[in-house]
Amino acid sequence: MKHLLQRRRDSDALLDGHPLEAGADLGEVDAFLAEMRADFAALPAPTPRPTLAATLDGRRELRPASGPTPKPTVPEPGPRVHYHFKPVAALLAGGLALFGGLATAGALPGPIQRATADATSHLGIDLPGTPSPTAPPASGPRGARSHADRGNGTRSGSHPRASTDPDGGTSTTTPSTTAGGTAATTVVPGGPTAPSIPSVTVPPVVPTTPTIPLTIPTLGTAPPGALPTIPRLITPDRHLGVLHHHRVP
Amino acid sequence: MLRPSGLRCDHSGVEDPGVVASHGAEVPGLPGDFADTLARAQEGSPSACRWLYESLAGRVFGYLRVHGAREPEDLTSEVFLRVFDHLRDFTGEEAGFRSWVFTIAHRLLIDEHRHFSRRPQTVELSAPVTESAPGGNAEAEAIAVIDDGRVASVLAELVPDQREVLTLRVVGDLTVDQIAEVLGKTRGAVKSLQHRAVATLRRRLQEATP
Repeated sequence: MKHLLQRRRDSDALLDGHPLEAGADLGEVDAFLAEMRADFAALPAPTPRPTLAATLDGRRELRPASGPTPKPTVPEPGPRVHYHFKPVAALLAGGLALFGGLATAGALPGPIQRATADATSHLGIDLPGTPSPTAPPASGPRGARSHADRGNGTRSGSHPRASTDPDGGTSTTTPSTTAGGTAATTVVPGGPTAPSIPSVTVPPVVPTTPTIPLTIPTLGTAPPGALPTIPRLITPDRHLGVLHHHRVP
Repeated sequence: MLRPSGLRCDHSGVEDPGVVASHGAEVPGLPGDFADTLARAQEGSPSACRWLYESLAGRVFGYLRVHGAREPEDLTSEVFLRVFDHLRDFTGEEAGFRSWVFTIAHRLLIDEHRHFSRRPQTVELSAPVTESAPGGNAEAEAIAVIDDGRVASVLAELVPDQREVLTLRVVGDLTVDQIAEVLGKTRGAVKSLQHRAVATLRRRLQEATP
């Protein structure tokens, strides 16, 4: 081992051009390397080829130094978005847009529309179906609400409370579903509604049990074959804002 | 400091004060140190460029020839064309310049080996096969020594990696670290190759001694 290390030190010294230690057995190698240096040093420079000769004679300009590496103008790419998240994000965005559009148009199913309107009313966004403390949405027939009415919690125009029997039968007047049967008329100055149309603030609906006037004919008074007249039961459908006619069987 | 040995310069003009180059005469070393010469060459001084060429071209030529370059003269010119094309980008000392030149030579040699390994060379049968010599008889003799002398035959006994390290160490006068940079190897690997090369040389030379 010691011999090997000594030989390595000798070879390093030999190639570094230092004198060998006494007893080193690399004398022949030393002589060979000296011969090798002399042979290669004696080699003349070969005749330069025309292009190089032009450079060496000054007929060809040296290439100018390249400046600092310009920074790329394209901004560094940000963190990569995983591709399998993109369809999910697109679906979410599309669903949100669709849901928002339907909610704005009031075309969502009733409970969902109400829940959405409730949620967004806390954010200051009024959507159709928002339960207004002053204007219940169930007080008017379908079509009675104009676009201007939507979202501002007011109702304009009159609210007919009477229905006419389309069958031409006995006409009944339904009890008013509004508490007290009176409506306060308020004009909203500068509101979105036309000033000529007074805004009507309808108090909240108080559920009342409809009274069913039932006239039971006395036996023997009705002509044979005549059925007892059953008045229509008109119940307000709150979420649709229309009056449904139910027939009692 | 590099000293061109046996310089023969065809350039007869006088570009720099103190530099006189006459046709066929030896060119004295440029005044000042290597940094001054390099700076002049980078400014475009032909005499400084020629001095840089003459000081290293012979060794580069020998290095390429020993390692089997097909056309070492052309390859040497190509090496120095690249050197002068990027001379203004170079910063460093003389040892760094030498290492840089041999790095270019090593890479061009690899490129040439790849080129000829992919395309077999064809030689016309009618053409006489002559060895091209870059200069006169003295130069031809020097090249013949490299090709057919004792040095060449002993170097041929080495494996390519050992021969590469030894020639860069002896001919290019590069340090172990510079050789590691040229060859893309670690310092330990270069030292190991160097020791094995010396051991092989010692064994071969002892066998050859009667």
